[in-house]
Amino acid sequence: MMSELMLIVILGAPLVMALWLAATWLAGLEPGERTISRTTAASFVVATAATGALAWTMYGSGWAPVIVDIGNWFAAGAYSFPILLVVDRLSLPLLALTVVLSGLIGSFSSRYLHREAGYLRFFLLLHVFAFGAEAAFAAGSFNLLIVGWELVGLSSVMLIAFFNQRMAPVKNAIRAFAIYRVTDIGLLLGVFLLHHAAGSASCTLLFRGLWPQQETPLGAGLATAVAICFLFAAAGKSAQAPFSGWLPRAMEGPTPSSAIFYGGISVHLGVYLLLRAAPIIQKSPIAPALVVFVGLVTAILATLSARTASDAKTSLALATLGQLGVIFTEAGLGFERLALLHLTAHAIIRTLQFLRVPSMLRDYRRVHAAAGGNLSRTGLYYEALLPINLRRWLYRLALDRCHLDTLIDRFARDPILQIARRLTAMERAGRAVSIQRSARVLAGTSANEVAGG
Amino acid sequence: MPAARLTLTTVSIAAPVVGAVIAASQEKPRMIGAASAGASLVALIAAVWLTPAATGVLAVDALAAAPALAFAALVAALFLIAPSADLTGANCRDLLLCLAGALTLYCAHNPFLLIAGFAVSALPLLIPHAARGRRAALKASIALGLSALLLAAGSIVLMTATSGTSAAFALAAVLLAALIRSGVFPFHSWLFSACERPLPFVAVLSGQAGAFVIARLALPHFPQTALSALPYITNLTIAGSLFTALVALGEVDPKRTLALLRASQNGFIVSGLTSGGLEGITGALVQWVVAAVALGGLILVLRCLEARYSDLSRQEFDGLAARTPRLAAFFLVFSLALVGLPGTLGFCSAELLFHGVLEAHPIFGLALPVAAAISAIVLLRLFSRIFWGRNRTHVPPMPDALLRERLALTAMTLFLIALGLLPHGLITSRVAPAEKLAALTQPLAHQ
Repeated sequence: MMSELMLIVILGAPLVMALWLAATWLAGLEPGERTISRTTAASFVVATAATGALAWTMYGSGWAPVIVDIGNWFAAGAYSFPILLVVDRLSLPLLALTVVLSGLIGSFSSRYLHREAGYLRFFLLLHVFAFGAEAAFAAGSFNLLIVGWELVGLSSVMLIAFFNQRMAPVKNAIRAFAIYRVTDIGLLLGVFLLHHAAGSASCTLLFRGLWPQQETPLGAGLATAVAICFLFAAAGKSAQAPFSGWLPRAMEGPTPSSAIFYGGISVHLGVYLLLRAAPIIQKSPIAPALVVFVGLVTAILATLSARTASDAKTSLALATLGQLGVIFTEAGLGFERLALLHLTAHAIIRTLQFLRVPSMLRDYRRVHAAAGGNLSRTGLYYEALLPINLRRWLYRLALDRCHLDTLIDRFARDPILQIARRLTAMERAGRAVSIQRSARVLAGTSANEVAGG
Repeated sequence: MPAARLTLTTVSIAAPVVGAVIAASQEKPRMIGAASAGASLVALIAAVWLTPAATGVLAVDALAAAPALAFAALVAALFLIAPSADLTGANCRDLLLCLAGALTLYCAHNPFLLIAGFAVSALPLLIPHAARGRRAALKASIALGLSALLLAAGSIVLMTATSGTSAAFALAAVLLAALIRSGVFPFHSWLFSACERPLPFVAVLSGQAGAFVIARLALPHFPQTALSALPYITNLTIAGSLFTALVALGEVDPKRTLALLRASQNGFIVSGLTSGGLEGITGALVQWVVAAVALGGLILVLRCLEARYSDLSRQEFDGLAARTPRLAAFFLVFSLALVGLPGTLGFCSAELLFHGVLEAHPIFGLALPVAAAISAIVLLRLFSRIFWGRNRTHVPPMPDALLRERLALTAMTLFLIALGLLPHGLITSRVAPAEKLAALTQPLAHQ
């Protein structure tokens, strides 16, 4: 009972904060910066204490999972949407990570965004994000995971476009949103397949045993189909190849949001999906190999691209991609514990690095000025062993971030937009003709006059 | 109690008729319009609350309750939100007649009343165009007139049909009328011209008259021998949803974009209704409430902005969020609800709808989430073009949402979010009529 209460407090704190901030803003009673930062700090302190208490209770019970079945959110016919929360060895570290890092980001941002026009908006989105991530990590069914997954995506997009007076953040936000929405179809279809074939998407029914030694009764065929759908969704959320292009573009947002989203939590949500669905993936004869392939390709391409990055945040984004690729590879190879450990350590270190970027740049300038030149020259080490032509080709490849954006634009975005524009043009042409005909029949006027009207 | 129900239902229809008569001669009829739409809404709530069992020729049964309440509330909100320039005496009269017609359609248990409601609810778009010389809008008049005629002819033949062949033709006419009125592909062109009309005609667009006719009239009379034809209608509407979403992707005009998204949404609803499964039908019944409120809200916010700044159709980023942040927030919430983001009622209806349609049509149904994803991208692009970008010097200073606008838009937002967080009651109330409709197409579900 105590554990259940703690879990509800963890999830409820950011939700209440988000609703309160939205309601006061809408009512024109916008709270001041001090009120926002103090209430935010209080809510995360409460959530952190609740997480600590939950971990202590679980430790006392030998790390037995905490399962909270609140009942069906809604149901119709054979379909039901259960609100089932599960905290086990996989979700507890990620829940703790989300609560602690979000609290730290809140504290950091209260100074970093001082007197920024979008102060309240930032904190509102931070709470929406925290609730979404916690809901996704504590979800005991893949249905509920979708809710958290989508909220994290939405807050991510809104924060990329935080400085929406400039065009680059706006365009990059739309691009990230498009990638999210398209790849989320994989998650929707995967959940549908589970409902269709297994009758449920609840982890308690789909998996037997304790993570990471879980098994699933699903057949290999169904497991393969679901795993491929989930891999598609995870690749989009974790910016794996071929969807890697949006992550460096997402650096347009404020630095604290970059830290929590693209260093800490959001990009690891895809990995979490793979780890949660690990029994399904490992049951498939081909899905583990696909996960390893996607991870390795991303790691190699990101490492290459990072060498030509010209600014600190982009370098960090590409370094994050490289590590995510390695974590994907670990998950695909079946090293779930290692992947979880790697994920946790990476999230902490990368968040710190992102937060350190603005002051680090100042430090570097001072050091470089004192030394009389750039200390970190590249191209003198292992690269020098390669033939010059290959180095040039690799340099061009890396400079265009391995053409991933170009490929998506050329083979997906541009053809779809071209089709859409042609259809719109046809629609307009057809409409003009039919209006003329209608007018001739009913009003007996000349075609030119009608077209003019 | 049946007498009380008849009285309350009649009051809910009579109130806007009386309001229309008074408003027609007024110079500032906003209060009269709001009062009569509000009275209609209260009477309707009382009818649903006090007498849940449906009897008589005019009664709000379980199928009609949600769309009727949503539509009456939308019209009441429209009177609060609409710019004064739009609320002329004639426009208010048309709007209130549209409400009376729509409520007659929803509450009718007699075919003649249903036909009358169907025609009267389209009245604002049926008659005034030619008289006002807006020839481009003739298409809407023709389409809606044709759909009313087809419904009248089909219903009368359906009642008197003695042979299977004549019944089948009659049913085809009824279905065609409903599809034209819904504006689903390939009958969506009239929506463009309807969107060019002043604000009150939004009400006609937001009503789900076509989908309601399918649920009330077409499915109950669908012959068992023709059930095999139903999947073709579902597939057509699914393909239509994808097509119209794609056209919207290439469109730059905000009003036309919303018209296309309306066509796409109606495709979702009709495909759910004809999917044959309980989940799909329940999802469609919830989605038509979501679409009415969310699309109505989007069009209203757009009109509020047009009243302040008439240059919205330019293909530039206007950065209006800096001037009107609350209108931007409302627009965003309505957009998210329409495309089924969590935290809004649209998520619940989309979940049910997608599962139902995919169960019935695993291959064609795949187009539905794709269409939803494209619609989401279209709406974010539209939002960004209007609200994000540099705060250009040519954009004049303008007020954010006024108090009356804020009250009405907040109520609509709360409706979508509160029911999105606690959807159980609404969805459970939709299951009973959905079960009846699913039973009518049960043989199909087992095929």
